[in-house]
Amino acid sequence: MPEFGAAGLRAGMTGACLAVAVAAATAQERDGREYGLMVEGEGVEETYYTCTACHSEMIVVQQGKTREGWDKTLDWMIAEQGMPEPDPAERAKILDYLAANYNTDRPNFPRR
Amino acid sequence: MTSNRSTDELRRLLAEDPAAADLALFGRVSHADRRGFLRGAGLAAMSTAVGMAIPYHRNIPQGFIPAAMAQGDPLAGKLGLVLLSDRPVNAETPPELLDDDITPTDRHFIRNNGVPPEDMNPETWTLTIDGFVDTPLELSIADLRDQFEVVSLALTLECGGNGRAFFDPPASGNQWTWGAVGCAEWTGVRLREVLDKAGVQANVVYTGHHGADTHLSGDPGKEPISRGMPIGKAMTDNILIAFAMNGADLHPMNGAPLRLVVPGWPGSCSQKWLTRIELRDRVHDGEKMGGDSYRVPAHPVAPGTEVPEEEFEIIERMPVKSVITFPANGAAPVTETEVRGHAWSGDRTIEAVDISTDFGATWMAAEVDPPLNDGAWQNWRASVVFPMPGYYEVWARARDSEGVMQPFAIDWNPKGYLNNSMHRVGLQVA
Repeated sequence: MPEFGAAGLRAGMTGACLAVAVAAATAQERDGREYGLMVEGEGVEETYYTCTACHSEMIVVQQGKTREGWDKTLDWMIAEQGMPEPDPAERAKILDYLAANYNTDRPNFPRR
Repeated sequence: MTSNRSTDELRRLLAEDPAAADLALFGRVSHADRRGFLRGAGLAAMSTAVGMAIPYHRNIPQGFIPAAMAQGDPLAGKLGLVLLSDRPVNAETPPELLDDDITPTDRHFIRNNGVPPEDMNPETWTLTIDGFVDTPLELSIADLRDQFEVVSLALTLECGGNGRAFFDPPASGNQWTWGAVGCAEWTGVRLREVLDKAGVQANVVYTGHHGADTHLSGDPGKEPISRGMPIGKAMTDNILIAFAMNGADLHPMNGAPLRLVVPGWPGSCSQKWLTRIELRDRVHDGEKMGGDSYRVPAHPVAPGTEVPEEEFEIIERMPVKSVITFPANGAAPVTETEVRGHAWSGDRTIEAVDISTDFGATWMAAEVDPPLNDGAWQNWRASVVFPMPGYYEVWARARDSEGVMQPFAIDWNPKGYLNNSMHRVGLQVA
C-alpha cells in the first residue's frame, strides 16, 4: 500500500507539491530541545531568546521569508509591537540565521 | 487532586479565599507572613504538581498558582486540534474532525492575537456601548439576558487566513491549512437590538470592538487586536453578542465569558473577551485595521508582488468555500462510499456543491441541505461509486447564490487571506 500523508495529498489545489503539512508540533517534540522547535545553527541562541521574549518560537518556524522579508518583520515588530531594538551585530546574526533556515523555500517547515 | 482542576477553577478558588483554597488544593498552610509552607504542609503536593522540587518555596505567597500550572495545556478542553502556536495560542481542526453538522466546542478552532485575560468571571463582566450613541450603556451579562431576547443560532466563523499554508511565495502569519473554520451553536443577544437601545446616531459609519486580552509585549497601553465593521453590517440580524456556545459557557480560548459572533466575515471581526463596542463616525483605526492586516489588494496581483499600502482594502465577507469531512484524506474506503462535508459563503447561501472523483474531468451534484439559520454553513453529501480499486481524489466545489464558484487556484495576496480554492482528499479505494 502506498504511503499516504505525503506531499500532494495534504497540499491545496495550487502548490500541490509544496508539501506543507501542518505545524503539528507537540509538546513531546519540543521537550528536551534547548531552542524548542528552532533548528540548531549559528545564531539560534540569539534568535530564540529575542523572539520568545514576546511570542512562541512556533510562530517563527512556520514562516518562510527572504532576509529582506525578515528584516521588514523586525522593523514592524520594533516600530509597532513593542520589541526592543537589538544592537546591529545581534540583528545581523538573527537575520542570517532566519534567512538560512526559514527562507521562502521552507527548508525547515514543521513536519513537511 | 489539583491535576483534575482547570486553571480557571484554580484561579476562582484562590481568588475567593486564598488560605482556604491553598488548604483545599494543596493541603497547604502558610506561615504567619502568608508565605511559604508551615511545617511543609502542602509543599509535597505543589512539588508534585509542578513535577520537581521548589528550592525557594519559603518565598511563595499564599494563594499562588505556580506558572507551570497556570500556563497549563493550551488545548485543554479541545480534542484533536493541531497546535500552530502556543503564545499566542492558535490551533486548527483537521478537516475529518469537522464532520459534525454543528461543530462541538472541543473541535472549534482557536485564533488568539494576544494573551487571554486572567479574569473571565461572567458575574462581574461588563460590556460598554459608547461613541456616537444617544445613551451610552454599561451592561452585565445578566443585563443582556434580562433586557434583550436570548437567541441561539448556528453561525460559521472562519479565520481570514484559513488556507494560508498553501500560498507560494509563503505569506506571513499562522500557516492555517483547512481547519480555521467552524459552525457552533452560539447563544446570546442580537447586536442590533443592543445598538438600537443605545440609539445609533446618524453620523455613525463603523463599529470599533475592544476585548480584555492583553498584548504579547506586556505593554498595557497596547491592544492585541481591535477591529470593527460597517454599521450596516453591524445591524444584521444574525450577529450575536454571545455568552454561550453549544449550550454551555464559552470556552476560555473562544472568548469566555462574552464575545461577538459575526458570521461570514473574517473571524477577527468577532472580538473575543468583549468589553466595549464604540460607534464611530469614521472607519475604525484599531490594532490590525490598517497596513496589510485583514486587507487585500484592491486588484489581482501576481504571486510575490510588493503592493503599496494605499492599494489595499479591508476584507469584508468571506468567499464561497467547502470542506470535505468524510472520508478523511488517505482513507481506504470500499468502492461505494458516502462523501460529505460543509459549504458556506459569507452573507450568501450555497446553491450547489459538485463532486469530482476523476481529477475534475466530470462532476456530479451533491445533495445540499438548507442552512439551519441565516449565517450557518450548509451540510452536503453524495454517494460515490468508484469503478475499480485504485487511487482516487475527491474534489468538492461549491457554488453560491450569486453564481460564484470556488476557484482551482489561489488568488495570491501578500498576507495570505481568502484562500477558497477547492479542497480535495486522496483515497486508496480497496
